[in-house]
Amino acid sequence: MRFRLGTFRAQAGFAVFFVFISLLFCISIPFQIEQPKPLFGRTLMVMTPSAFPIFVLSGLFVAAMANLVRYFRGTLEPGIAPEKRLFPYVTVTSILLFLVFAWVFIILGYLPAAILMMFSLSFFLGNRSVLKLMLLATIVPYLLFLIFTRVLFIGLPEGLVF
Amino acid sequence: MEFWDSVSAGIELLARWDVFAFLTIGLILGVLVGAMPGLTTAMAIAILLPLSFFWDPLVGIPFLIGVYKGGIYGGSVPAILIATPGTGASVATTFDGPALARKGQARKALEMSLYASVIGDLSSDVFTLLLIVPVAMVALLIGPPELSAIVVLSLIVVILAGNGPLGKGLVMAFLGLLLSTIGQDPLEFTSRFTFGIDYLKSGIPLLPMLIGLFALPEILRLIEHRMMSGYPSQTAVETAGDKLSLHEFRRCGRSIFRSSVIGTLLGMIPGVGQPTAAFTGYAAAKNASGHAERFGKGELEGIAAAEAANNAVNGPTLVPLLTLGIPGDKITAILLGAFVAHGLRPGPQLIADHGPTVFAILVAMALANVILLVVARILIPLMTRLVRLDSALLIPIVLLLAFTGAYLYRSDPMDLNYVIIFGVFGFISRKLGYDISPLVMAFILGETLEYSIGQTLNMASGSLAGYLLSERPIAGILYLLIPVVVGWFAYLSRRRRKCAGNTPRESLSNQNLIK
Repeated sequence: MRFRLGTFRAQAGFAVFFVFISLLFCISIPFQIEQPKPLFGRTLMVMTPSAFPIFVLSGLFVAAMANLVRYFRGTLEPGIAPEKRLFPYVTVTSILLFLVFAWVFIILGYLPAAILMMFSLSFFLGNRSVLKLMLLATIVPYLLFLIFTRVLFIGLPEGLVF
Repeated sequence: MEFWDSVSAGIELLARWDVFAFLTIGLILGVLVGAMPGLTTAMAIAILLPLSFFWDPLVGIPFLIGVYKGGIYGGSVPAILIATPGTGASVATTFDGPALARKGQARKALEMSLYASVIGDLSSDVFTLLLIVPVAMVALLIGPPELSAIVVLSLIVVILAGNGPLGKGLVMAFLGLLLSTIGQDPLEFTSRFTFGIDYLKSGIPLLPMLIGLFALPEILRLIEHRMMSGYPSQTAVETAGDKLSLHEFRRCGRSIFRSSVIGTLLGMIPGVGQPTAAFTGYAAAKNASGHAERFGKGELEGIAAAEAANNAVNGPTLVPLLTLGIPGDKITAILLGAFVAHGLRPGPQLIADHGPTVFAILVAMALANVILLVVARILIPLMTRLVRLDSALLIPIVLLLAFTGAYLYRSDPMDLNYVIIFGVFGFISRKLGYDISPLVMAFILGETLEYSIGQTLNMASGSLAGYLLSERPIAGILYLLIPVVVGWFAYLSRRRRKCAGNTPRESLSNQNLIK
């Protein structure tokens, strides 16, 4: 069964997001685009630093608004709806796992993060063999660590532990 | 330096064992990745790209080209054996491959796929080698007005020829251009849209963005697929059967030649890519065949046509990349990052400044086909096992490589945040039917476009239309070509919709699995 309502709203939400982004950047132009320093009373370039962003933002606004209008008219092309029984459980859990991995990678270093991620993600994906889990979580990260640091001489983050 | 001097200097540079060793490793990795349903060639190149930074350009770039070529060929293996295209390029191979496998002729199909791939790819590489110098010489005459017109035209072609709808493609292209404006203005070097975050002062880093957009959505899709299918165990695949005979190969010779020409020509057009070439090659072979009714039911000629066409795209996509700095598709967009990171800035000056190195890379690219012939024959038994590999083991390894690759780019752990942000964005975009290719192309070309438009306006001194029409007629013509190109694609799109009904149903049912 398709999660039709979610996708239906998400299409509009995504179009609104782009409209919002274009407006936010437009409003921020006076504060976020530094003016060039004039040389002998004039700037070197005919095109100001804000000209190209204004053109791009106008294009983004018009294209996103056009999509929004097409959404309300029912002519916007549909996307691929996520499965109701999986969404948001699987997707959100996976993204959370990625976030945890990224932060453990930054704080504790490569090896603890890699071991933790390999074990938890493989378990999450249905691997229930303790032997396979242990082998995957230890051998692969350590092998990659050795290849990067000893063979290719590329440093990996050491963090607090290693 | 003259053409032949550059070529011979390039060949001399190639006389190194490490070039061949890493090219072969790249091919092996590419073939294995291509053979695993769910892993894309673009994803493999994005993940392995940072590794190449630590090597000589002559080693690093052929390594990535090996992954590219191996990946495109490898995709045909699961397409034949389990009716699941390993890469998008192999969708047309599923029309006849599985039917041949069911008849007990999997070995013939795999051999035909290999020979057609190698011939298609090799002929297009030779063509690229011969074409690149004239194109580079023309490119040297190109100034900012012509460059801006070419970039605009390329972006339009990428949006129109891409996988997604036009309206959504436009949004993505403008978003890519917007992201390219973050950091520093290329004309006056003033700060833009940094929102007080130091991290944004140098702009958004290309590689973590590429890994995020290409690898993470694939991983999330694989996870979803795994959860939906309830941990299936793949059925055993059989690769036994008779060898391909010389008579059968010769029977397909004309189709291989025709598809090689089609793939080579389509490869030069930005945004068209391997799947379109494969479909066109397949359709042309079917139309020209005296027994069209056999196509879709296990016809060797169908495999030969599709595989020769999709592999013939590989070489010519590098022509606009190397001579104008314009990537033709997402894989060449990633390769552009590799060239830049190695100090070889693709564009009109590349051949003039680094002729021998570029020719060494191009010759290595042609040699890769010969190595592929050997490597693939050895790897076929292993590939049949790989198509059954448990994704619970595969996905964590791919994710680990993706994050490690993103970190290696600048040794900055904060880049992992970019990977996650762009990964989640790419996943949502894909779900909602937004193609990310225009975003990546626009992001890469944004700075060049802004710079060339700025220079053109300075040169025009106020009267742009008059300047373009009177002093830069080629740029003027290129701008006037835009409505013609839009009209042509509208015509093609209408024709494609009409032809859609003729596509074999079994293969269409597999299209939700393509990359």
